[in-house]
Amino acid sequence: MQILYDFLQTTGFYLMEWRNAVMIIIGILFIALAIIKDYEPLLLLPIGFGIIVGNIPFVQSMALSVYDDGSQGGGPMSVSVLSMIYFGVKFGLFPPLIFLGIGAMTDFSTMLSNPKLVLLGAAAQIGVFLTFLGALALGFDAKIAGAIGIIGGADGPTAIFLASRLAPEYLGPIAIAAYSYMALVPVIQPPIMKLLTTREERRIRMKPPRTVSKRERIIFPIVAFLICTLIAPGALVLLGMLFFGNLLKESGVTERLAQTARTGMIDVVTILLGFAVGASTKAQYFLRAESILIFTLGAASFAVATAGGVLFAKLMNVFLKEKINPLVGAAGVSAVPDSARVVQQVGQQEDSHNFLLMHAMAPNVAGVIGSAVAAGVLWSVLAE
Amino acid sequence: MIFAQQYYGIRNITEYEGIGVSITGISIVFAALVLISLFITSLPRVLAMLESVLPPEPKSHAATVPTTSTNDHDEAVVAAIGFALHARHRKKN
Repeated sequence: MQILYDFLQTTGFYLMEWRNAVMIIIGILFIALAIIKDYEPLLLLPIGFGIIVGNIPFVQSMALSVYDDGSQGGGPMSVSVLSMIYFGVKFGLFPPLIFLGIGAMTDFSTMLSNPKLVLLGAAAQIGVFLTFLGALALGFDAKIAGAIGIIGGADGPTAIFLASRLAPEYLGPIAIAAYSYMALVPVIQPPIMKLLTTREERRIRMKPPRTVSKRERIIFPIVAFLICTLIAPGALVLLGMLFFGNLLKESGVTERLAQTARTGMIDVVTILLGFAVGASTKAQYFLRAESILIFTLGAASFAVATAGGVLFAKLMNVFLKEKINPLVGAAGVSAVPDSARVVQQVGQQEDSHNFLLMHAMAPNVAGVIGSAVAAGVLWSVLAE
Repeated sequence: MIFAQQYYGIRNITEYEGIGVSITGISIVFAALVLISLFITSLPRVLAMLESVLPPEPKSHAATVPTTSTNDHDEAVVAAIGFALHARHRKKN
């Protein structure tokens, strides 16, 4: 009877705290959003299940959580399997691999055919730096403020990479905030886009993009990599993998490698990254007042980034003969390809024959480069 | 410790040179993307100038594998189906 009683004291039911229960409900909510609303299911489903896994309570002597990495001593048996998977998040291994896959599936043609739209990818990064200031104003340490600010880059892997470098103790809340807002792009962006544009502006039709030669597509990743990383070496790993992946695709001689990078490899890494990030949200580490501040700042960051892109597009229209539809500025926040899809949807609400998707992909991929450069700058400046 | 110095507002921003970091950061992002934009703008002209010395455009290995059927019979089959449907439609009327 005593054995049974002792065992019952080790069960999750006995050890469950209200905070764990809250996190498990949040995990189920993520899974529901992925399945019912189709919000970024490839990310929210692994993260949601990871949250549930990470919040099952267990006795301290069992090495089960992502935080049981043997750093507290105790030999090999104190290292959990989850901590080995989390290694890829903690040491920033997974984000560059995701960038390799993204590079291998990204077509930069629309950007190459309309170079001025690249600037919208830079304008949207204003959200990163304004949020950095906001986080400082709320009393955060500079490194943590930088890691929070990058949520506005709307790029999950970039946010994880920078958080793992600058604020590893807040990696969980930052990663969850970044991916949650990426999933909520169709909810957050349209009201801001409509608020900042007139009906006439939303109806602007843009010239179809020109055909881009294969030579241009091959030369671009090499030169763009050199430009970005010579300016901001901190972006070396992320942009190196992004442009390397793109070169695999565009060279035409490594189709097998490109195919692996954009299918099997990125899928495996996405599963491991999403699950490990979810499992890192153990309530005792995650449910803190700072996490709520991080979520609030993340939402503000996303909204400011969207507004920055749209307003900069309007500013460009003052000087341009061929006007651009300011809605495409919202795609500068990266979040590929969801924010470009949102631009298309909002544009078609005003004019069902206006196809903005191709145009929006240009600032969208420029935003990926811009957010990686912003992360590189923040890392270089704040890591010292 | 997250709020290490217990400073808030402008004082904390000043403490960490937040405004300087932000202005420098956004300027560097713009500089990188403006340079990329200028490079993309000039690339077709540069390639046109170098056309005579550049090797012919590489062809993708994958592109040599037809993705759709090019069989001449396909068109004939489609035409036959179209004719049959047309004839049936006329018969009904």
